[in-house]
Amino acid sequence: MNLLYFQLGGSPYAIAQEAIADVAPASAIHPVPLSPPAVLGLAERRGRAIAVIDLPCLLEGTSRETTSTSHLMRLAAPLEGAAFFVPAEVFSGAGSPASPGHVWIDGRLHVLLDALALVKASTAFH
Amino acid sequence: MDLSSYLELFVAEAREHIGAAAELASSVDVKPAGQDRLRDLFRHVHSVKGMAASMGFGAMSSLAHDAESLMDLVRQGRLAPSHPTRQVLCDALACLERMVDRAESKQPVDDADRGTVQEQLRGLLRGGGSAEAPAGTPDPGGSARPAGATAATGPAGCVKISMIVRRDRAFPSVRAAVVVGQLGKLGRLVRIDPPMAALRTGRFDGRLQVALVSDLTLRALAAKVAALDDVDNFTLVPTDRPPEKAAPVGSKASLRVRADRLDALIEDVLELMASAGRVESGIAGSLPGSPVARDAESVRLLARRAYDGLVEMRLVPFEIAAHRVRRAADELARKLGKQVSVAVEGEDVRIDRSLLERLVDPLLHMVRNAIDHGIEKPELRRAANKPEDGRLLVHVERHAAMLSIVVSDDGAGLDPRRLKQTAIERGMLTPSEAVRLDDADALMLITTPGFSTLEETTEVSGRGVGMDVVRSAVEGSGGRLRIESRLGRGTRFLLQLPPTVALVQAYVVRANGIAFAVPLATLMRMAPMDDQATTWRDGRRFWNLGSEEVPVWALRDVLDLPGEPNGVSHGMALIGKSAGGSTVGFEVDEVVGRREIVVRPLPLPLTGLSGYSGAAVLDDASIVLVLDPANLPLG
Repeated sequence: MNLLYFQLGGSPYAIAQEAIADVAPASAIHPVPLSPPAVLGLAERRGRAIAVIDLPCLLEGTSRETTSTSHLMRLAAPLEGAAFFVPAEVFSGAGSPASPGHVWIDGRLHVLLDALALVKASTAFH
Repeated sequence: MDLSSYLELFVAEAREHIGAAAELASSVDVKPAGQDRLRDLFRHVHSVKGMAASMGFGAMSSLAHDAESLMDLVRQGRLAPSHPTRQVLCDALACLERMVDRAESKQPVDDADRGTVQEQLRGLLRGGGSAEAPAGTPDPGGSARPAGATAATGPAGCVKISMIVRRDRAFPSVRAAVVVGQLGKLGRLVRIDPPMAALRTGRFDGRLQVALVSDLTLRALAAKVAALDDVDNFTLVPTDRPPEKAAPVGSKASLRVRADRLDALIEDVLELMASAGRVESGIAGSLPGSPVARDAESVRLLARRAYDGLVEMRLVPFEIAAHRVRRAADELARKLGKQVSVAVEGEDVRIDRSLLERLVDPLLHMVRNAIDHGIEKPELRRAANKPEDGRLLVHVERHAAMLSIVVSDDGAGLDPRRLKQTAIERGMLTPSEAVRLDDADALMLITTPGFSTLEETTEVSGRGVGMDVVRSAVEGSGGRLRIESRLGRGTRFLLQLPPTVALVQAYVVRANGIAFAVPLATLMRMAPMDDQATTWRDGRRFWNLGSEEVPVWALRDVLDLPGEPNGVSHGMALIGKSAGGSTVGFEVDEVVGRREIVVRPLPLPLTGLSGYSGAAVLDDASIVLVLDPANLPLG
């Protein structure tokens, strides 16, 4: 399976490439007052505002500043209005299934992320 | 030949024709005014028959044929348009609609009720005359209109046609232009008065005159003109006038485009607008006032114009759904032995087609719910000192960036205490939770999956499904559902929905350095927060609006904004109405300016976030949140 993978806080994560529409360097993020803490705000992409979900906040309970290696991974339909904020380099490669919820990439075990579950979690996370 | 690629087109067109026919069928009669309706009705059903036959749907075509024959008898005066006749006609149309639904979902098209309905149709046909139209029957509508033509058998040559174009419909000048286009197909137009250029500007008093050179006979020409939808009355006179300067006739042919292709184009143009805005900003900074800066501005404006045009193509009037609402209400009321007067307001409100498609089923459910559970039977209404006819109103309105739909009835209403009791009995609430629940939240219990207060379920509703689906459809579209009810007086379901896309005039304002847009339509006025205009009482600031004191909340407090005010001495108060109807104000640091913005609903996971009607990307690619002042959370 084709995957995108990255590291957060030293932990390796992966997500199916088909769940992601595109990956681009993180652009300016407009804050959305009263939004759930796991939503960083809105970013402009192709003339539309997309919601930016703070992946470190969801996965590790921490939030990071935007750096030169930060990326926005815009989700594919039907979640194309949302993007994951990933403060890390993002790589692509092939992987193979391991235990449920995990995949092997280059001999290393990665946590396999479920985009829909993360979007749902971002609304409930407080 | 594989016809599957035409199925989508067939379904869309057949639904339009059946919908229009159903609207007309409920009120056909034999008075002169009714002949127009009969002619239109005939034409719609005839179209369905032809399309169904083309697709190979024989049963559908056969049913449409019988319905068409019935109308022909009524039109000829050989069958009275009595209630049973109208009813059978309505049943046939409902059956045709179900068959279209089945065709769409690629099931066998034939409907279980088709045989019964068709037998009823044929029974009426046998009683009233032959199903086949007698030879020599004039074209539908041909007898309804005065035609000055004689029964000439040769080509008409040059004729002057004077017409009154229906002005009781929207856009009469556009309709006149369409009529001109239709007449242009009957021959060569040599004069048009008023000219097309005037019609395009909207100047039109309802009178249209053309000179036409045609190879048709006068009789055939008169029949063709009589069949035109938008022509109310006409005279047709042969003339020896030599052809004058030929008038240009614009093409009004329409073209069907798949919605997803249109959406993709809209997305591209949106991206073009954003890019053009960035280019313009960049050039304006480095080469202000230069020719290239002006060109960049032109590109942005042209992109904007293209976007506006494309968005306009997606919009359809609510009337497309209105007929289904009326029909569902009529059918159910009849079935349940209730008398219900149904009204739909705001049929001309234009809504994005995809949003309307998502809303039709929830709307129908609320309407059925109102008739099944809300509106009482006549004897109960009499006993309650109510008119025997119950009232059901569907009101549609666009307010600023939000679309509002209200379904209300004057029925028995909902009892919050009974709803709480049911929830306790079903284990959905504990008694202590029920005590803490206010009436508004108690009413929302009916949107809980599996909730029903009916001891016995009915065929129509009361199965505990439905209102939860309505709520999820509304919230899934980024909207909100609210229920209001007074026991014994009726219930209101209020849907507030962000339009899929909307062009809105708005003020861009700032609070603590964060930009927001406030639609003009949500504001009553804007005023500086200087000390003379405001007073403090009980820790709250009030703006003095004549004799009224308007409480003003600082937007930074309402939204808990980070950062600090920008240091201006006095902010501005935006005065508007709260959801409860009271006048309230919000203080912002500054008003940046007025803009026309494209508002889109907030995307997941921000859908339904209170206080906002959406977000917009400005020309410089920056983002603003669009405030919904009526629903800002006031603590």
